[in-house]
Amino acid sequence: MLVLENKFSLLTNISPTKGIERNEFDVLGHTISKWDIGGQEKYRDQIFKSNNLDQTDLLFYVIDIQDPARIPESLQYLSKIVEYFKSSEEKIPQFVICLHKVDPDIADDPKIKANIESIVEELRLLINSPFLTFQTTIYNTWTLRKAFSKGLLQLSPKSSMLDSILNDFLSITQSDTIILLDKDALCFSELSCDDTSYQLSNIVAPNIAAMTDKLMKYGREIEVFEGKIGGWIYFKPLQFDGKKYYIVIFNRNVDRIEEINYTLPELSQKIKNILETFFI
Amino acid sequence: MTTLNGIKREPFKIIFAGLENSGKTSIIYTLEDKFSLLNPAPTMGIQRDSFEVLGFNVLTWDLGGQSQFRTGYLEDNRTFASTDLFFYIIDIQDRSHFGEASDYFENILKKFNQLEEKPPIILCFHKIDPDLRENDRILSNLQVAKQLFHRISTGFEIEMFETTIYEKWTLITAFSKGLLKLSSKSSILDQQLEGLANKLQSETVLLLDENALLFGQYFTNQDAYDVCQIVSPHLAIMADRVNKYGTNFEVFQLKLREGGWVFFRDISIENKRFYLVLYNEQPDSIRTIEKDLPSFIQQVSNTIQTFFVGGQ
Repeated sequence: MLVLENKFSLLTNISPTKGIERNEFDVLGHTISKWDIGGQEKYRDQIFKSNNLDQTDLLFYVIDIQDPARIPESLQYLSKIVEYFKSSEEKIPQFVICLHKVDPDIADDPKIKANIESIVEELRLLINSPFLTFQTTIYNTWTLRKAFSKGLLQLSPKSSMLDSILNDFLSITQSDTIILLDKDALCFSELSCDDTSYQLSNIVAPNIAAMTDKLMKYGREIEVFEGKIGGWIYFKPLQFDGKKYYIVIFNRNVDRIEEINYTLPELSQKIKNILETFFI
Repeated sequence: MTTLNGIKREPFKIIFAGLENSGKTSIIYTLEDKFSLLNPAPTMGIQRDSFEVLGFNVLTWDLGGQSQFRTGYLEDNRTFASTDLFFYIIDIQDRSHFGEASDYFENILKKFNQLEEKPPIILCFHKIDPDLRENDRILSNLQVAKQLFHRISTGFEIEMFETTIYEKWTLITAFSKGLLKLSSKSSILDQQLEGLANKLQSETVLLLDENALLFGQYFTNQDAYDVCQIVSPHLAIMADRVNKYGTNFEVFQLKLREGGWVFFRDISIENKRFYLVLYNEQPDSIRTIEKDLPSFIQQVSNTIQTFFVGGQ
């Protein structure tokens, strides 16, 4: 959570969350109440008391995959939470499970991979409603931003409309991947025809966003960025209502650039219209 | 002498020193992308350690702490004798230890004076994490530390950098600027880059290796140079990830709103990957690059091969 609010300095000597810490923040003008619930044993039962969990729309649950010994305990606590919702009158929230500490240097470790697979299998049995899982690490903040934004997107009735607009753009321009993110590198939509262009676009998007931010602090702005990486990657900032958004497009065919440039203004207008009322 | 990817290297003595918990080991792990090793407890009790960092050997020294015998090490001439490059790491969040950190630093400089050695020194004001860059307390700490260390550094070649493990490029920049000082070929390479800049009408030319370490630079315009310095580590890290994914990175280019273009491409010198960064006011003059590159590569090959070898 702290990385998403850019509180990196607190990560290193952070003390565990005590009890329940609640605060609010803004995403697209919509207020989100965040409840950070301490994971230490003595706080665990607190959440079941005094209607703490009532009216929850979105529930992020973080599992440390570098600590296999405690995974059963973690899953058990999650199952208690699931049971709580089932036995109460409350609607079941959207669960977003972060398989955390999948650090970049161990992500391909077969042991870690097997571990993750078995956890996901158990999650399926445990939560029998749709849920999202993400592999996250604080050393690639894009993984956290994506988990968080994809969770939030579940709350918007407009997110599927946004997806379908971008999907139209993909087919008109015959592009392979498109990603829409904001200047904080929260991902609003991403559509892809194949895994390679998806992975490559996901390497470029967060890095370019960070670079754009650095340049902006120096007083310079990127008008357009292009690259050749087994295809053509294109990055352009858009601005609506004083807010910055970035669009990343991957297309294997460089000749499509004209079509893309021609279609882009129309796409921007459509995106603008949707984002204005995104959470309403 | 050792050889790494075709580039010969003197066995340089590179030291990372700083108080306990100033972040030396974390810097090394971040530079090496060993993220999962970053969390563990501080390296208490290990005063001296040795690491390989991007092909260079690095010795780390923990200063301060409880035990008396440690100062013994500091007094031993061998500890700091023949140092080629000295990094000093200061935890900028911990103002209460600035005095201790600067005392140790001053003593080490005295030792260098005694030994009649003047290694280049890189000061890293560390743990300036992204959310703290505009924090009043940190800004004030930074100002105090800069003045303090500047005052005691007279007579030494010192550069100061602000670093954080959450932005690898800050570490690459500091490490890279230090390594550049190890080369006696640096000015030769810079001249060769000037030649290329003139041909392509570029206002800045940088040459980086695949770890984004800066090998050479030439510029006629400070602003263009600053822009290249900002974007280069990001572009290099991106190109590296693209290559590691198994796709061939060819070129990145960006157009700035206020005018100006940055071109970033890889070139192969002695079968080793390098990146060339160019800043041009107009994109047209860059088009001849394919024609000019072969002779440029031939020219710099020899310089690069012996870049980290002593003598002129």
